[in-house]
Amino acid sequence: MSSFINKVFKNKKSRNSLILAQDSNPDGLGHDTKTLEKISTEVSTNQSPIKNDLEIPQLTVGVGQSIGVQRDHNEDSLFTLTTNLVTGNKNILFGLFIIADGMGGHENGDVASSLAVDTLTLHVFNSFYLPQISHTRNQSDFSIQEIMLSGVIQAHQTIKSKASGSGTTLTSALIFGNLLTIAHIGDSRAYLMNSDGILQLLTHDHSLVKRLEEIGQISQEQALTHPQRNYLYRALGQGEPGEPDIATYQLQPGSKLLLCSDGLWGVISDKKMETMIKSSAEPQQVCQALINYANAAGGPDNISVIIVQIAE
Amino acid sequence: MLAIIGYRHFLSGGMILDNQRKTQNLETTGAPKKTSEQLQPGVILINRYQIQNIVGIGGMGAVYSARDLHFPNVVKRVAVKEMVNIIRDPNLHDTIVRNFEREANILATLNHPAIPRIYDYFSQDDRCYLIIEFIEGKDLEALLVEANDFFSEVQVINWAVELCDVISYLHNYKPEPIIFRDIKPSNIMINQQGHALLVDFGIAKNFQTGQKGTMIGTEGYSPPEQYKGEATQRADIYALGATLHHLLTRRDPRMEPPFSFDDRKIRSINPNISIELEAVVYTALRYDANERYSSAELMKEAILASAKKTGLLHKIPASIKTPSQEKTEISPIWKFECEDEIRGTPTFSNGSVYIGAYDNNLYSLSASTGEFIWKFPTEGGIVSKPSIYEGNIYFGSEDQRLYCINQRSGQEIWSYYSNGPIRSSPFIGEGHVFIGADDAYLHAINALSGRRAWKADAGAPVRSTPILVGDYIYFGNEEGELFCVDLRGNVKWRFKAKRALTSSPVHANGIIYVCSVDTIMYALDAKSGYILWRFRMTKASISTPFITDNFIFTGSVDNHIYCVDIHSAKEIWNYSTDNQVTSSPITYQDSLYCGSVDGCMYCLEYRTGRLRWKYQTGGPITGSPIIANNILYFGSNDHKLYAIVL
Repeated sequence: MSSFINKVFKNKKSRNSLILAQDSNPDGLGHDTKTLEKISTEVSTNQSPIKNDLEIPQLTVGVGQSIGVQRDHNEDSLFTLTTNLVTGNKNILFGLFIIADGMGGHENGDVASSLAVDTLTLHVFNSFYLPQISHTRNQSDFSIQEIMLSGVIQAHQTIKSKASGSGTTLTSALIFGNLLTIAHIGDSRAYLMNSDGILQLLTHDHSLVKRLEEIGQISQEQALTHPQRNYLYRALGQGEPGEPDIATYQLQPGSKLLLCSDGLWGVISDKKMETMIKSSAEPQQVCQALINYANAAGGPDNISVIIVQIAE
Repeated sequence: MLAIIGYRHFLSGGMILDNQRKTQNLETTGAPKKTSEQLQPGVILINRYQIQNIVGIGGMGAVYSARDLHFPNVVKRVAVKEMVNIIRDPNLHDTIVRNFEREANILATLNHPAIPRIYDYFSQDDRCYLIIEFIEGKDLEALLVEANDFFSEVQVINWAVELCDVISYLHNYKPEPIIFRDIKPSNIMINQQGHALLVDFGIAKNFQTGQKGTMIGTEGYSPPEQYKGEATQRADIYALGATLHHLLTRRDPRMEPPFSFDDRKIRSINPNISIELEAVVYTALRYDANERYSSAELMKEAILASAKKTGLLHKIPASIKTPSQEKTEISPIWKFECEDEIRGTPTFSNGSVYIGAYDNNLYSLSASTGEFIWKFPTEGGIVSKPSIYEGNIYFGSEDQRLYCINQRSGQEIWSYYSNGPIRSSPFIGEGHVFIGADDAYLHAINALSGRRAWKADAGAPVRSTPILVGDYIYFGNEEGELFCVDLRGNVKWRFKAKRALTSSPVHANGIIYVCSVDTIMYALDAKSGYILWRFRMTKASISTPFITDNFIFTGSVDNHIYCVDIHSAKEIWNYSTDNQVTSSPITYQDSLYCGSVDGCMYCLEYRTGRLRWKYQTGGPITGSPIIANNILYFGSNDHKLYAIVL
């Protein structure tokens, strides 16, 4: 699932609208045979940063999804949306980005991830975005973090009632102005690259093996082959609605946000992702390169990736 | 693809795992429909046990209460535990039945007051049944849910000792030790006499195989090595430790990351628990099994030893329970006494400390000796914290005026009249003094001339101290509104809390933090005023938050000092003083300093909230401390200003 909405100014900034109009090609990137080296060189072709002459902060989005090489069906879902609402007295930059990685094999993992994305999106719209533009918000009654929390809990309940037995990860990012709020459960990931060029992991994998590794019970190598490496201790649709991790961060001009499922981070090191993201100003191009790389490295799982760039 | 998982193999181990991702399932639902067909009340099994009602439902069957019809003249209740064998593979099916019978045989030989008796077992159709002693009582999980408060330390110790006894009995069982492997509150029954019994020997759950994605609901209590397929006596020690941790803190480990007990220190959640008992629990919870108690007997001894010490400590007031952490030698290098209460916060500049008092004077004192330098009389009490700018000192007074005084001479340069008492403190920026007053305005005054540039109508008294961030000024009023105004005094946005914002806003990374009398600490987007998060306290807060690292600290009228994660609004720790905390905390090096209306200045380790020392003054401390040149300065309502070398 992929969605893309953007309110673009139809004037001299046609260059931006071109970029923004690029949409993903879900599942179409699956079986690329390019070698890793070739991909790396290709990414570094475009070095020009996106300038924002309008002084209206904008988000440029790249998105991609692939079934991978070794799986026969896709259980990942994703959602992206960016809007600018600029009027005489306000300037609201809003973006919502979600990745959900369904689980449970043939037991409706795809249904769970899709329900998670749909439910959270709808909730954020109804509780946050629509009140913003309809002047109905009652200020002190909701916080962004609480809206995200109740959205995640709703998604959990929806999955339990409509796709009982299945589960999903959910990593979501809400951008409001220059603030980024992450709501996260499971082992999909959100990374942020600020002006220092360091790709910083914002989320914490809710996986058993990660915990065992953290407390020094097993090594990183053992973690890779641990029989329970796929066990999550928190996920949507499973067990009690374990509390998602929710946190807010400040974005800087030029910041880049990366959301991905474990189909990506499981096969590409953080360092490699950092290099590839730094090498291009075109989020879409980086998404494609990342997916190609993951598939060339074996593509053991579904891959979903979203890159959001905040204009400089 | 079905996973066969069994952490709880009672006598036989082994697990087969597949490669699909799983989550632990805290419930035991999700079994195929067939198993959910429970026996109806009235059904009689083997002409003897008449089902009365369902006590609980598990993944592979249910537990019922039943009447034993062999005793026609009395009602003898028994528990009937059912295991539904849904495995179709004939070999596996038979193995399961054989295991069931073998284990039932062994259990039948157990004889301990903390283990329910097993009377009988049999199979009927595809179901196996165990007939067990019926325990009148409740399990600890249910008791945890029912209780509104912490269990007392004595209560938990009593249960823990009984559990150590029964675990010891199992571990010393011949011919081979029995490892329970699943100690947790829901497997511990407290009978009507208050004794703890170990129930659910896993017959049913032992066969809890073939279900997708479930990891069995014991995560959180199991030790790390159990995930490597190892389980020794020390696994039960860990699980008992985890259970005690849950009982003492009321924090369910299944809701937390695995093996994260260290992140939830017992005494930071429940300060009434002794250091000794906490230490016993954490020894049982060591990641490395070799560092735990090697036997349940040793753990029992350690618990009893802690109880002896605790018994003595019980007679001493709670506050003195931590003598090792309390620096008794804390004493001020100087005190300065004025003629009325000091409710505000001092300011340090150029070797002097300036403090306003309710004797209407602003004092200038030598910071190193406390020697009086000068005082400046006003016509009202001073709670406003002085600000320094270009050699002058600025402060408000309840006589409605803002004063500008020469820092050296103490001579008035100018004063500015508002139309109400001033309790707000001045913020100086862009050559102007910004200050609120009870006349419901925020005043912007030229710092050099004392002339008003503008005043912004706030609609209610402004006691909160404004801050200037970039081109905007933020301040609260007594009706709960937070204003964002530009440098001309035009309102850019306003936010409404439910009650007064007396606390002053603070800013970090594009976010404004402020506490309200409505009991909430708010994090607001500085650009839009939209709420990012809310942190709830029990009572009002007029304390101004303080930010260090990723922590935000504040105090509340609910007596607590709070430490909250600034990104996620999760409470890191809280510390309970003996009265309201209206003072604003500050940190210095690795300590936090904050006063309380109980009269004490507290020094806490700021990452953990552990008490380092406290210093008792003769009156409530309502203002905030400051630190300069390694000296802590603070005032008290006992009329004194204190200086303590850190």
